[in-house]
Order: sequence, then C-alpha cells, then structure tokens
Amino acid sequence: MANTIEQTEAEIIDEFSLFDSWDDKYEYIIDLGKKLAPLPDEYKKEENKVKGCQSTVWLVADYRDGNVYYQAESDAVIVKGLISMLIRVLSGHTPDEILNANMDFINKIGMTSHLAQTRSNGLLAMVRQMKNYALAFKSIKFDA
Amino acid sequence: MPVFAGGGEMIKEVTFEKTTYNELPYKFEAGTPNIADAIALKPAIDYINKIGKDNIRRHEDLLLNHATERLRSIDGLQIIGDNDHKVSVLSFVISGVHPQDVGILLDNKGIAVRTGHHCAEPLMNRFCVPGTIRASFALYNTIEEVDKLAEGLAKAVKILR
Repeated sequence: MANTIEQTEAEIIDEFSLFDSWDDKYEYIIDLGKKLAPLPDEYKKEENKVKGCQSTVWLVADYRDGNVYYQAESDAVIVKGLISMLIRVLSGHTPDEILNANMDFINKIGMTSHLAQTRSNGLLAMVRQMKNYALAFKSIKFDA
Repeated sequence: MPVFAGGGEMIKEVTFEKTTYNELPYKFEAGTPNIADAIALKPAIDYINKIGKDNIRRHEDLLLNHATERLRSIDGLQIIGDNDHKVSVLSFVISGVHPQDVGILLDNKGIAVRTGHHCAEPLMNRFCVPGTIRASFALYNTIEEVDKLAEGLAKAVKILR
C-alpha cells in the first residue's frame, strides 16, 4: 500500500535530519532537481505558470482513478528540487487528502526559515497552486 | 477619510457627544512621531562628512574594479552594464545557471546579493534576460568580502552546473 501524505512527509524529515549543514541539504535538493523528469514542452505554456515565483515554474495536474498526479518543471534547479519533494508528497493522492495536507515538513526541514521571504513566497505559491488543482478536481467529481 | 489609528496628537476634542480629530496631517499621525530616526539623521550625515564623499567614492570604485576583475575570471559569467561611470553595483548573469539558485547558495554563505528583475522587467524581457544577480558595494565593504563573493560564486557554479 502506498504511503500516506504524513508518512512521506515523515520520510523527508528523516532524510533531512541526516544532514549536518545547509551545504549538504542544498546539494541534496540540487541533486533532486537535476533528477526531476523534464516536463514535455507542450505543457510549458503561460496558463501553466505558477504566479508568485521569482523563477519560472510550470505545473500541470492530471486526475486519474480518483487521484491527482502532478508534473512540474522550473528553470531554477533548487526550485526543481523543492518541486520534486512537493510532488513526492502530494502526487497520487485524492483531492481531499491533498486539501487536508498541512505540509508541515517544509517548516520541519527548516526550509521556510532558511529561505529569504521573497523566495519562500514562491514555495508557498507552488503549494497553493497544487491545492487549487485538487480543489478543481474535487468540484468536477461532484458535478459528474 | 476615516482615521486608521488612535493615539496622542490625532485628537482635537473629545466630549460625550462627539469626537473631533485634529487637522491634517496630525489626524493620521497618531502617537510618538519617528523622532529616533530624525535624531539619528544628524550623526549619519556627520559620519558621511567625516569620511568624505570623495573617499567613499574612491573606496567604492576600488571594490567595484576588484570585483569586476575577479568575477570576469568565472567561466560563463557576463556582466550586464559596463558604463565607465556607473555606481558601485555589479549586475551579471552566468550561463547555464539560474540567478535565484546562485542567490540562495550565496545567502547560505552569508553573502547578500539581490536576484531577479530589479524592477526592470520590461527591459529585461526586451533583451531576453531572465533575471540577473546583483552585488552592491558600499563604504563599509572590504576587498576581502569581494574575494569571498568571487569564491562563493565559483563554488555555487560548480555545484549547480
């Protein structure tokens, strides 16, 4: 059985607790970013851009068998690493699970306090956009 | 316009029947005015005058020239804006590396730079620049700090590429 959102969050918190310094944390995030599957060019459209990010972030979502699946990319590699973690936590869950996720791991790994405010705003904008997709799919479900 | 904050000096008269507010601008300046900053302005001006504007300019030029020289040796780094008489700011891009990533890694090393459009988005769009990294040097910065910036940049580029 797949992990719950909380379990994946706990996994990430656990992984980050192994690093002694922010140098190591960033190298890990950069590594995740470099490994993130590229988003096909046809999705890199204006309407898929997440507003409120300093770098360009494209985010698309797909709704299959009651679960939401995300794909995303950015021109900045640290941002890609952060997206990769967000996707790992939220992708493959139901809209309700996604909407109820508190995403506490972002604080617990120290990300919000470590990024300058203008930069962490972008991270929160990505989470908001992912939740917006979940909300949209949830309302479609009720219409059907 | 209704008042947005209550406090000393913004009231003219209060009775059980009605309250009359002071005239503008006092109506909107409730409480103790910003006297600390007003008082601090004089020592700030004295400080600048004691050092002398020419000396400040010379120091800034020294830092800017040193930074320009050091940063040019970083592979793929392009300085944006090379006017002879510019103030001591250095805006640049590095090929294959996003400005925001560089900013985050430098921040982690205690080096403060600004990244992004610097309120010049239409101009940057016109020249297809996705954003720049910008370091500014002032009278309180040192040559050693410029060297730290150059080393931090070289390291960031190595990790990011």
